[in-house]
Amino acid sequence: MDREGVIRAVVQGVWLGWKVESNWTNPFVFLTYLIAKPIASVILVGLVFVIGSTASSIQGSREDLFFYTFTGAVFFIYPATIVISLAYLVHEDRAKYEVLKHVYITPSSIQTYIIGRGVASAINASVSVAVSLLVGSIIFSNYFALNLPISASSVDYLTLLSSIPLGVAAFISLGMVLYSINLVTFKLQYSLSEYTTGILFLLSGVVFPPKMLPYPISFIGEVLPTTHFLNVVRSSLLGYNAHESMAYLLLSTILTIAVALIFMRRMESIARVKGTIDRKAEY
Amino acid sequence: MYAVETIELSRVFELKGKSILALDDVNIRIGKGEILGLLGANGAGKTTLVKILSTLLLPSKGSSYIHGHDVVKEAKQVRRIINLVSGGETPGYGMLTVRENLWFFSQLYGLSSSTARERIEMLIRDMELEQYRDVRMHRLSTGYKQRLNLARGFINDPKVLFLDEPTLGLDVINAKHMRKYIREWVNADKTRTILLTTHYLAEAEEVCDKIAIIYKGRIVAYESPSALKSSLSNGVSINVEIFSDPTAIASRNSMVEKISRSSGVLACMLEPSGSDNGYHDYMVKHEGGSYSNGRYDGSISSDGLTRVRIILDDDSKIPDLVSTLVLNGYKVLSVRKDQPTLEDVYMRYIGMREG
Repeated sequence: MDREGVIRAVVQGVWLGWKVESNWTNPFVFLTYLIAKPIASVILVGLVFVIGSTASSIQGSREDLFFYTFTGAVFFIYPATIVISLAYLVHEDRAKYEVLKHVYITPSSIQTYIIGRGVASAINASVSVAVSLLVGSIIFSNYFALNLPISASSVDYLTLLSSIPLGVAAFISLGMVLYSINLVTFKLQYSLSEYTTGILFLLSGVVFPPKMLPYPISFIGEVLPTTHFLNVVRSSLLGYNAHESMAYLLLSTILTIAVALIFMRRMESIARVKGTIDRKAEY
Repeated sequence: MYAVETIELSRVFELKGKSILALDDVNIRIGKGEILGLLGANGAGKTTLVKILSTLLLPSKGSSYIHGHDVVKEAKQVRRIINLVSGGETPGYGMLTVRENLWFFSQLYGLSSSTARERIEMLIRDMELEQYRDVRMHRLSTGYKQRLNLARGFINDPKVLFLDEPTLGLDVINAKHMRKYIREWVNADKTRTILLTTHYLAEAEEVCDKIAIIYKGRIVAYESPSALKSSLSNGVSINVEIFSDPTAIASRNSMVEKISRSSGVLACMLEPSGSDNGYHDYMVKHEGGSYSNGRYDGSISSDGLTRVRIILDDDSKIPDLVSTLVLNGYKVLSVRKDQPTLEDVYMRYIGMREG
């Protein structure tokens, strides 16, 4: 092949690579993703550093900070797993397995089906959480001299076990919202779940309390069910009174369920208007 | 009460600022125990109609009912009594076995465990899937995948079954098996109804009680196969055998054009001799005097003869037609009058409407 032919082939490779990397989306949409993602990562790292460096004044001790971040990261597995799996669900059922339309026309409501899929993700997440908690605490205790201030006898098991189905219900509802958006769109299945879990990670008190964020971002963090779920989990593990956090979790879960159901009904209607329930991905 | 009824049903798609009319005032009524064949070319609106009736798509205008239930407002009630099978599609999850896939859908339809088990075994037997019962779906051949697809469609014993080109891509034996089963299924219970979309005319004629021809979103004919054929009573179908070079496609196309422009010719179909993958060339005359041509699949002749099927408005035009052919240098070997076929009807209606 002559030099011109090689250049043409390379240009085509670059062009197609751009198309594939951008998931065939609008270049402007992909540019915002290219910019937003690194900025979010940088901010996150910076915030973790700031909080880490001032941890003693905020959390009281190195062990307290470790407990906060460790339990945050471990129990964040629940929302991350459930939300991501439900966001991908449309893509899988519609484009990969081509069964979405057959599921949709059954008398079982699609919400029921999604709940079932969400529960399966929650069971998987529970295994991951249990293993991470056990293995992580052993590794940090033995190699970094970081012990979790948890005593098996002081854990409020009832509150802990009650918070999990409540949290799962809220996370399934969040997943339903993403599912609904993906039902009427075709190119957001990956970026949408990445964005959402990234935002939840940043705002929900996984590694630092949301009140450390500037207003009104801190307010958003305070109303998210993920924040209250992690608060309840932490309090119950330490054996503290978690009634207030539990009430907030209950409230935010009910609110999330209501918003998700209304939103999903609306998106379903739009999907039937646009004919996207069984439309193949435009790849 | 009809099993399926649509009243002035229309659907417009907006695509990049353009409005595309996919369905245009469609009125159909399918009685219980009937199989309606919806015939039409690609993009005619067949699948759009099925999607609306199966609650996947909302109409832009008009109304539709399944056993009296409004498809838009009472989608839940409709879903209890319908099912849909589309040809050429994946019938389930590839990593699940035949039985597991059927079980999954039986549970979404709310069947009790015992009913589901019984029905799954019956369908596996009826679809001759016994040896594949515990085989993962992705390992099945196309034919057996489609059998599984059909079994999934029958899993809830629907009152109305939509079959959207169910024999697409199937070999002759699998397609025949499927058509036989469909017919027997309706005959076994006269409250069952099927809406079958196809572009195989022979399939529609073999299976359907009534046929609707859809063209550019409009129903242009809606009758029993025999009534449709007799609707051509004013016209006449003739088969002309002409000796020609079987590989000279361009020359045959020119022949079609010449015949189509002859006096009294309503439509002309060319049966080729094997060089163009079994597709017929055709040309139809429209009401405004314009012509259009196209291709559709059909049988292949390999004896060096070109067989042309021509629909004339009057048999008195046959001598003029033969003269035209001879004057144009074609060797006419035989001319035979024939009973109108469904293909003739289809060609005639498409031709009439396109102008």
